[in-house]
Amino acid sequence: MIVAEELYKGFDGVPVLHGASLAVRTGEIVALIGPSGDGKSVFLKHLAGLLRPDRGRVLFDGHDLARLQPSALAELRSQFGFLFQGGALFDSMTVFDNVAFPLREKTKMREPEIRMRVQASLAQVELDDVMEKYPAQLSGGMAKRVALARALILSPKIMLFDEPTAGLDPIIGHAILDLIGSMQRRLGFGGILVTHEIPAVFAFVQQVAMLYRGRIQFVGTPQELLAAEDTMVRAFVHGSLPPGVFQPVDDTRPRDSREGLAAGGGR
Amino acid sequence: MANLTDNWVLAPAGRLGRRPVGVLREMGRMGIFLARTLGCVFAPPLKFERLRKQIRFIGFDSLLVVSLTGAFTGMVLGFQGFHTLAKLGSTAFLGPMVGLALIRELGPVLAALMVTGRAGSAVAAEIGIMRITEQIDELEVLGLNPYRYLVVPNFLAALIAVPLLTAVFDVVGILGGYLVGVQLLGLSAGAYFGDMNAYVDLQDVLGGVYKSLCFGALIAWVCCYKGYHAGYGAEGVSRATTQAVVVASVLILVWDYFMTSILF
Repeated sequence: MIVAEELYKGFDGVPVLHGASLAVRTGEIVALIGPSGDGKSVFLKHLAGLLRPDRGRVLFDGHDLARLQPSALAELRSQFGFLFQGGALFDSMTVFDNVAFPLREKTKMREPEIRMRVQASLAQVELDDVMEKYPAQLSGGMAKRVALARALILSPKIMLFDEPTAGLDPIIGHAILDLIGSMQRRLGFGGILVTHEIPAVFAFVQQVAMLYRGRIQFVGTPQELLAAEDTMVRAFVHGSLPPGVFQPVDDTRPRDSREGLAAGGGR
Repeated sequence: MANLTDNWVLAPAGRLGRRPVGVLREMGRMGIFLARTLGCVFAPPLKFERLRKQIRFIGFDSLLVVSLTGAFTGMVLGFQGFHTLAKLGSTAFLGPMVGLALIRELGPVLAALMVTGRAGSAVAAEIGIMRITEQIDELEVLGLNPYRYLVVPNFLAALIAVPLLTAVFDVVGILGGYLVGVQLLGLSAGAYFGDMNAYVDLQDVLGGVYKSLCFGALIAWVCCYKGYHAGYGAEGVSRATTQAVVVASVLILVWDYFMTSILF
């Protein structure tokens, strides 16, 4: 179980998170929705320990991420997978090496076994024919699928998806969401999916949370979301917000914020 | 600081103080970055495959540009030195002059500057691009230490490659001086090399080696740091790359002064 308790975070004096709290139970997928620029990605990076909150804490199975030793944090992160908005594929490596990278670095598997695992994983995302290509040679949708295969190769307990359909056309976008849904059913991971794809994600998420002005404004099932009385929630879900109501917060990060919890730690 | 800048009397003092505070903060960050890098250098495992690649990139791939710079530096020294010494009637000292100038000073400094321009900028840009495309975040999510993967191999590779490139620079430069002084201007080869052998001692060579070791560490430190902390987008990477080259080059020259005053 992963719990964010009253997270506060600001950059250059500009508040981004303002007491955001959320709990995700094991095996449960929560869709995180909200206006662009309101800190969804920042919130997600706190859950992965990539950013340290100014106040508040993130608990994973009872462990406060900010208080863990670097080695313990690195160990704990083995249970995490993160699908970044741009895929974050290592551009100096081929598709095969990208997917094999976590296995080579985090397990003692031999190369033939790694090859089998990677081939199987790429076959699951229907990309077993591009193994020798480099990320720059892939389309946006293909890169996202490769990144998904890499994120899932260590069978994480918690998956964090940062707008997996951003920048993709609707058909490819829905195909990616279907793929995430089918992988979730097969592997049983829980986690958070930052998305604007309402109601496409309702098919496989158990909860929906809405982040608005740095706080979690709403948490409930998809049905509860659709029936919500809150004006902001209704307006956002139905896409009928009057202009000027939302005032997105600038979530640009200063450079020092990038010294995440594990900087200098890990293996 | 906010209250200070709101006050119209104290605002100028606040603005004046912001710059030095920023510089001090940056120096502190650089110090922490170096400490973390050294921590990983002395705590195995090392990534040998990555280290091999970076030695090739920083060292072998810089060979041509360093050799060319060394050759022409030696040739210019040959010309200038010969005509200057001719005025004093002591052209026989051309060999020691070229040798000492290259081994003590020009070899380490110019080789380091060439490596900064060719490889240091590329290292800063590569790490900067990895930063803005979240590849460094991906390493952290995997529970891996980015310093071990990105910074340490560059640091060690520069420590190994820069002294070797400096040695190549010195040798090619001395041959360039020989080409001009002996082959073109008619000085005897015996005088050129004989006097060089007499006046250049081990202390001079070791001084050059110490300098090039320091410059190698400095290049890797500054360039990796600037790339690691690159700002957003293409502009952020471009600024980081420029700053890496400028800061590393200036620090090489400043550090060279202090090392020269201590070593010789």
